[in-house]
Amino acid sequence: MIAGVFVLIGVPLVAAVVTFVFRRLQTLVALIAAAVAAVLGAGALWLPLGQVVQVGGRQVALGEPMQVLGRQLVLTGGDRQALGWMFVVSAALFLIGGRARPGTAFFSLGLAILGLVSAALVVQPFLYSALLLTIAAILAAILVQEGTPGRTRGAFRYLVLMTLALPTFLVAGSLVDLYAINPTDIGLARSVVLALTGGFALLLGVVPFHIWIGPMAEESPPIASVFVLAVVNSAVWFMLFDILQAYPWLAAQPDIFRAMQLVGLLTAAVGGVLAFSSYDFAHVLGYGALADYGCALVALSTRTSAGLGVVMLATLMRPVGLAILALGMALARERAHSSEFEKLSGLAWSSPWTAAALIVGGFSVAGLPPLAGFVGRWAEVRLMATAQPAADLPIYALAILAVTVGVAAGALRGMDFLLAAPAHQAATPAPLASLRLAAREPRLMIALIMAVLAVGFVLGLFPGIVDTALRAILSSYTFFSSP
Amino acid sequence: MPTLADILARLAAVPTTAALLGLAATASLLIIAADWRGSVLALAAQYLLAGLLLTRVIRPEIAMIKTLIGAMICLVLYVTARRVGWEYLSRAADERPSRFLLALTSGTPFRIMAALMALSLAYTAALRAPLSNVPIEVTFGVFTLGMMGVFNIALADEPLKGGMGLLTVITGFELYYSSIEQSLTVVGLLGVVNFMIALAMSYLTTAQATPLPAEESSSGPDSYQGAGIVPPGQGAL
Repeated sequence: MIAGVFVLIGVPLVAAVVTFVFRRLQTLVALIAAAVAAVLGAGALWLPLGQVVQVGGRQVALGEPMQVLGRQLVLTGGDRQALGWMFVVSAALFLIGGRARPGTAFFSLGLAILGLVSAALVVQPFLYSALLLTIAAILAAILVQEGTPGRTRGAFRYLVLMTLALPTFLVAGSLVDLYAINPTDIGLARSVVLALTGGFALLLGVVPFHIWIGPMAEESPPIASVFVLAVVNSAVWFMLFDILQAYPWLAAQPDIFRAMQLVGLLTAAVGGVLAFSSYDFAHVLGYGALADYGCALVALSTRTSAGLGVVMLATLMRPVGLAILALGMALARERAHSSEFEKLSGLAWSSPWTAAALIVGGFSVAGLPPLAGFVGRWAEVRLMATAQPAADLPIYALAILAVTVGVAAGALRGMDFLLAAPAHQAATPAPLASLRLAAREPRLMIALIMAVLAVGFVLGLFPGIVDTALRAILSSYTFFSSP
Repeated sequence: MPTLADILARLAAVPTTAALLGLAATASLLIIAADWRGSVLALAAQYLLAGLLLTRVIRPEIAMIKTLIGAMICLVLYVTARRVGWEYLSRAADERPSRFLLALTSGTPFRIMAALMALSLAYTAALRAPLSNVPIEVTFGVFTLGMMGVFNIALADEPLKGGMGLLTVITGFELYYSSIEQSLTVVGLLGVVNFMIALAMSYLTTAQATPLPAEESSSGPDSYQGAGIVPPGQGAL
């Protein structure tokens, strides 16, 4: 009998090696990576957790624990949903990557990261999760650098900040063990809270540790940025939930959530302002995601199950908007060699689908209706407006609305350039660029843009589709409802 | 021929104060040095001295393993730095300054001041907030490496130099953490993390030295020098 965790960790790692060997055959490798991720995602989401099932003539028990070097690997209900969702999102990104060309090693590195993230979420205790997640983040630093020679600011900053988070988790891990022996030691509890707060602040990229987001979005292939901002970042969120679930006394510490509220608000505000002052769609993508992280932190700081649900909803919806925008950016960079507003002036007239992806993606990241991003943002605003007992929460609702306007204004400024008169384009002294723009947009890219746009609109108009998955994840995390 | 145990016993006889002074000197050199050979050598010496200090808190065999990992990391960095000709990374061949000018423009006096400041901060922090479970000399080592590493990262403008700062921080942390957690799995995974950081640094350094596509199209074989890349078949030394 094969333990489910072994499959979820081992198969992506083996597939990573295979795809690395054949990395030059990008289309084939993209299909293999997407198929592996999709099958594992479907298996994680739909196979029964407590039963043995026959898969390809072999018995697989998804919930069967496994021992590796004396450490236990257990797949819980929440982790299973989280991993399933991450695999499905990655499958979509791999499929898009087959055409968007995010670099030859994107697929193998992506699969290796998925294997490591799976191991990080199922291993106990959490200090091993931190170690594995750091290794995954180091690989992600290489992944975002793929295909972009000359500029390494974003990847290097990401590498530094993710690695600096590791010591805080390792110290917290040993302090937690000490606290289990001395549960009355308040100083010890405070030290754990301080270490974990610092560690998660670094990993989540909240202000002032957000300095990698802008340069990374600017320098790296857009699909690789989305992989880091949506998939790797989600693993950090789920690691946070796992720790709160494993140590319920942490969820009862008001200091953590007070800090979370303050930092969340600051992050959302900075993200909104930076997105507003964007001159490049890469900044709308990066700072829009930053603003979204901030809003999610503010929602979690309410210390309610509803707040947790809102964070989950935002996490589920985030990749859709980011993927739409990334597709537009990939095509814009392919055709106009840039994603800067000014250099895309009048692009909508020659490349309507590229412009549509850039505009709709930007609005979805901002959280405007009727797009996928709106679902999470509206839930955050409603939560803040209605949550009890804090009286100042409605002010936070207004702040989140202001952040939404900030990101949307950034996207609108981009739209203004995209829709500029075509005469503007004629003055561009770049004959090669003009020739390229005169050519039709690739059909496969148009099909991919149409598919992702459809997903964005359907999820925005019918958010109930994710209701079952959301409830399943929420039922696994009881740290806010436990006494 | 001396056995491993003999070597470890001889190395353990090195006075702690000497090891600490050596750590401070190597970490300072990492901040100040503009030449890659000096930096890689300082990092190798730092791993050796940290290994010596580690023998005070953990089994000498594990300290030896950590030092060996450090040696492997230095080897990776040496090959990378040699390959890309790091010292001239962002300067074209005709823009290369003289040694005197290089010392001034790379801000050596400022870097010396920064190293001294980091050292005094580390000394003060170690006296005011000594770490529990470790001897005071190890506390000094931890704070010195941590502070120097952070300063190095902050002052670095490219991945190889900044990465050395990052490795310095992690080495400092390992000095402390090894005394409270001696699980072999953790030691192994920390070794993997260190080695992966070195590989990522190597990759980023190579990527930075690779010309941008626009530069590529407008440059001939001479552009190797401008980009800091050693032409195929020619060593940097």
